[in-house]
Amino acid sequence: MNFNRTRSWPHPVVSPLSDDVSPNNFDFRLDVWPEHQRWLLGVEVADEDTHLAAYVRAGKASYVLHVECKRTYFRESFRSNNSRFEMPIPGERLFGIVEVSLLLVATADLDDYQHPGQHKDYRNGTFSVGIGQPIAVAQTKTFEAFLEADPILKLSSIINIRKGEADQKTMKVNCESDRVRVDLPPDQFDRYRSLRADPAIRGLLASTVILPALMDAFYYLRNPDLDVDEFKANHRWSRCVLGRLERLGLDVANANSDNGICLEAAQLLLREPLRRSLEDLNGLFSDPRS
Amino acid sequence: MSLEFLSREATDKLVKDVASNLEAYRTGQTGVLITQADCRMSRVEAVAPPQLLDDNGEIKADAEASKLIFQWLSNLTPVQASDERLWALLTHREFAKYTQKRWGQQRFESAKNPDAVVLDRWFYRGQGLRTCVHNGISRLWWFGYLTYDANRANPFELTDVLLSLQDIQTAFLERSLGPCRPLLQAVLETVRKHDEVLRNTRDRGDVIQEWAKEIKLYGGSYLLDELPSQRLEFVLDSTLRSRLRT
Repeated sequence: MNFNRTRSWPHPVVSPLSDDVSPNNFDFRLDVWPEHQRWLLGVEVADEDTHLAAYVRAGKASYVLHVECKRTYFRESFRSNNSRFEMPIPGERLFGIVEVSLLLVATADLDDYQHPGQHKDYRNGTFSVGIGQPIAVAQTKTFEAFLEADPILKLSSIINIRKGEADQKTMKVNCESDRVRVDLPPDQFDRYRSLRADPAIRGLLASTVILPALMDAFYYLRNPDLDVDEFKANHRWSRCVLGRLERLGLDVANANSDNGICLEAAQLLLREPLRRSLEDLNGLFSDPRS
Repeated sequence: MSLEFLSREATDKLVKDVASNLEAYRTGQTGVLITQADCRMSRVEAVAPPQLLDDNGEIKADAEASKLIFQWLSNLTPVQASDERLWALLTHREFAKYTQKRWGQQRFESAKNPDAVVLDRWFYRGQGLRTCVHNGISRLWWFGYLTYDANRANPFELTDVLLSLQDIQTAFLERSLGPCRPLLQAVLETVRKHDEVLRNTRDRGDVIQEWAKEIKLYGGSYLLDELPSQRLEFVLDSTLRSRLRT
């Protein structure tokens, strides 16, 4: 159910898309936390209307979070009397675009309902509002529920390190497939393959091979000519990574954001590669006799 | 045994080649379009697939087929059930003959564009509600998923009601009303209650379609998910009753 289009209601409804009631502010902050086996939706009602809040306190209206995901045939609502609440949803129920709407809904029949800010066309009219009818509606928000809630645990599913062409002299990164393809010069790939099994240098390899590859991939996403939504639809790695970074508050694909965001994002995804590299080096060069 | 699914590349290739493979779809020989290299092992465990054709080679009714498919894949999650690669393999290989008999034979003869029939019934294109209930096999699973109720003496009681009339599916499941569980259950209960009168109503399909429109209109000013069940039942019952009288 999408409330981003103007609707006509049989009674005054507080909605940013309508001048039924003035002021018409009714909005909410939505936080989406992907947890191991569930999604947790955090809601905080903003711009609370004192007149409507009184109905909530009197037990005659409740906040209702309405969540819909067409791809998985999911539609459920969650009711709360608090202006700040959380709704858990099993991870197996959501995939793709999820629409989230917040409404304030009558939980008792309101026979003589009127709002002090209702439009002058309503004059002093009163209305019968039944249980289940909204008296305030915020604009619908959406988020993308992709499956890889934590792609760090599956780095191999987003980066594919391969042996490059025989004449290749430097590392090359190709972002145009489901995984970021990193081609190493053949002799260096052979060394890399023999070293990667050694747990003592995993941090070093993350810094020397994966960190620059991720940086290159992030800069690729910042190309102003790239349609990021379309790219995400066709490239699994970008969905995994961008979804994760978005939840960390980093918008690497936004060409207007500071370039330093790429380095920050790559370090976050690789879980402190600098610290891990230095620890690896420390372990390698520390004198066992000291 | 792990259920197999088609690779993304193989699925896309099949879609691309629909026009040149029409004869295979027309004859039910779609299994030959798939090689073992096109298949991948999934995390879904399943026994051998059920028979959707009877002893005479005729297709089983939707209600019976739906029960069989839903029971067979009862561990499937909605996220897994929205994956085209799974359903595309089942329509092309495991249930090739069923899909051809159910959606290929007559529809091909009358269809202006048989390619569109194939894309609609053998594949799982799109991400909307309609997609779930259009693929030839996924629709059977979703019918079961949306109506199965373990608390009833016959858990598939509402599945039978849903599939008793084609118009119930199209009027409710392909529209935004369908995913609203309390509403769908109440709708099917109301249909069950008026089953006999509906059976004797000549234009019952139109009655259902118009009834669904009226409910949608009602939902324009109410959040149907939040209506008390007794009030919802009253609204559904009174509106259907008045449509059956007129």
